[in-house]
Amino acid sequence: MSTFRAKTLARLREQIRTLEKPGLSDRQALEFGDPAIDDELPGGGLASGCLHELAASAQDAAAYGLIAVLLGRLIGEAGVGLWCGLMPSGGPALPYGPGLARFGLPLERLVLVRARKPAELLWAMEEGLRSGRFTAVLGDGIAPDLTATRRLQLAAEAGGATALLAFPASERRSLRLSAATTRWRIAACPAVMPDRPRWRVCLERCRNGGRREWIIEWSHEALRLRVSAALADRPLAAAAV
Amino acid sequence: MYLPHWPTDRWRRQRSEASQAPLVLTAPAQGGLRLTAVDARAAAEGLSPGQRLADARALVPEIEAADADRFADGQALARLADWCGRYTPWSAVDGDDGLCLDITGCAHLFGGEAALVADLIRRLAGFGVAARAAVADTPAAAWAWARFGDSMILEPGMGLEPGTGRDRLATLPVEALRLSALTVESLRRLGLRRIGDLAGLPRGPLAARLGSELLSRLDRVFGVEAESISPRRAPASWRARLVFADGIARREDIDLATRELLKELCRALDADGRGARRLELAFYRLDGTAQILEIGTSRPTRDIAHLARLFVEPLGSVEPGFGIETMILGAVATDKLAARQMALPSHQRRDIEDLAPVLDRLQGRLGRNAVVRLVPVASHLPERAVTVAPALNDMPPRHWPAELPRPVQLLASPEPIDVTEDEEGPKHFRWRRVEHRIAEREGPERIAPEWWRTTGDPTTRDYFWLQDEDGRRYWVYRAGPGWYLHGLFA
Repeated sequence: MSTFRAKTLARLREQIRTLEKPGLSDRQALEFGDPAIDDELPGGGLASGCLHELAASAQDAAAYGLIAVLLGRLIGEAGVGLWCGLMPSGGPALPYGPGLARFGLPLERLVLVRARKPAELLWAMEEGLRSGRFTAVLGDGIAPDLTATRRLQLAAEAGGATALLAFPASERRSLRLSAATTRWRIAACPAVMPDRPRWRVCLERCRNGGRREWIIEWSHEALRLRVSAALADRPLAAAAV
Repeated sequence: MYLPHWPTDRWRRQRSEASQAPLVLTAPAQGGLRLTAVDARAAAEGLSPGQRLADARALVPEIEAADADRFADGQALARLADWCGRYTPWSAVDGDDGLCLDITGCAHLFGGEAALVADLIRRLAGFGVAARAAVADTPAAAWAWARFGDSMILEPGMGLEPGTGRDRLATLPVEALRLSALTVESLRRLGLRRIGDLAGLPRGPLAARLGSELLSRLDRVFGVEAESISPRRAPASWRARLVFADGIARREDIDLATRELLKELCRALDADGRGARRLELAFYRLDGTAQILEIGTSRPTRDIAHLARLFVEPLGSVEPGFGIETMILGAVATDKLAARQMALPSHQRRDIEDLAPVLDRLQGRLGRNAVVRLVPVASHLPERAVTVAPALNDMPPRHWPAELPRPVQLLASPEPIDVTEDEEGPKHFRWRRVEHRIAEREGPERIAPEWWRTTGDPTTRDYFWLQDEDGRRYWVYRAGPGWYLHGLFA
């Protein structure tokens, strides 16, 4: 791509964004902390006040590392987070505090909600988003339909909170329609040492942005993310899942 | 309050057809069906409980007989006691055929004791329930007078000072003391028929011959020994009450009334420096039933708008029937709440106060135990290292031990796995029918059982961090000869 074309495209994208949603462009974005990712995202990070989806590979818990990091950053120094999960019904596992805390998630500022049904979970998310009391609201374990994601997006805008949806990735879910601003796909990736977990992170869909893929490393000592390799734009499924 | 024909009144009320025949209720007993209850008309014909149905039919051929249902009678009586909550929070079921209300301090709301009792009897008569009520200084005296007194009401306001109530009670038969049939029989044989006959006798010999029950009953009637009423529901210390002349049924009216009640209650709570933790909103219907809604809050509050929001959903379940005549809002549980909460020093505290409304809404729909926070526990055992606490409990930032490798998901219970190992540790393993080849491993971390606990798994565990060839990370342990998978790392 020539520099001229790139510049033109960037300018056009910027124009579209300002037309699309007044005030959205000057909204804050959550930085990942590594320019290799942030520069690729419109707004310079994960747009706050929007809905984002995280499709996790079903066989491992890799996504929960990134989720804990993002939630922790969104909660920050003064915010409060809401984690809405489904009541464990012989399911795989519960979110485990001692492990999540290592990713910088301030658990004393995180409220856990356990819903019995997906409909209740969506209601709880919306309630939390609209209240304006939470800076981040996570829905764990559901991939709702287009209407429901629209409602969540509107609730997030109304309350100024960032909504995250996490669900196990599947072919059907990656094709479904959603009003989310971004969709990520996260899978495990071999790490060199236990204290530096690595994930293969693919930005599958991004409003005003393209598809990207990285290998991201988290450091438990430094409590920060770092891109260890930017991958070519190729399907993730074949490589990791 | 004595309901002489409660079972038959209830039976008639349940079936609204107006049959004029004398009604008796029967139950199988020795020698065939026997009467358990008779209505006023049957009683006037000379029938009484205990008679055989066949005998009764011979005496009064036109009687209508039906099966007795003691259980339903009791249930209905309990509902009636709830309904009496419109007069006083201290209402209790008293035996099979009576209610006991403590109207101390409530009578002025109804224009005095006499007016209250008259209103009660009139309303019950409206429901088709015959009642005799007596107001007295002790429950036992009221019980005695309602059943054996000659007038309907023991002169209201008349205490049991010597010379007035005491003398009148003395004229009642000894049965009014609520004694067992055996004791009554013994007393009769001794020629003691009236309470007054007993009052002057020396207590020692009386107790020796007839048991201490008699003395205790006597003391209760005369107020020497205290008797308490245990109300069916814990009475609220702060209450607000609204009475509607015609009864209301529309949702808008109920909402409006709820708001008015909240305003009044919150004013009272404010004056006393209290905040509501649990509220009870009782609806008394024109047809003599009561419905009670309950809400809870996670922190003491007097915020009218917040409390009103919490009532929105439960109010949907209110069935007004022909109309609601009285609504009573009571704060069943309260906590201290300073007059103003604004000047709190800590930022975090402020945030938590702000959270209360939304958390209460979440709890209201999902249940109290569904809205929680994770709290660390000082335990080496991974499954005990974390617990949940109510979301709004004060919680200073706690230290989560971050040095040790811990998974982000812990399986509800460790799952056995097949492991092939070499000298250094596990080589590959099979979990949920999938084979995993191990590329990296770290460990073991030895976790000893908590010896001071007598329950639980007593074996020492050696934990390993494992990474398979795809980069998935597992937490497995060896305990004795077996291997288990316990958690998943991110």
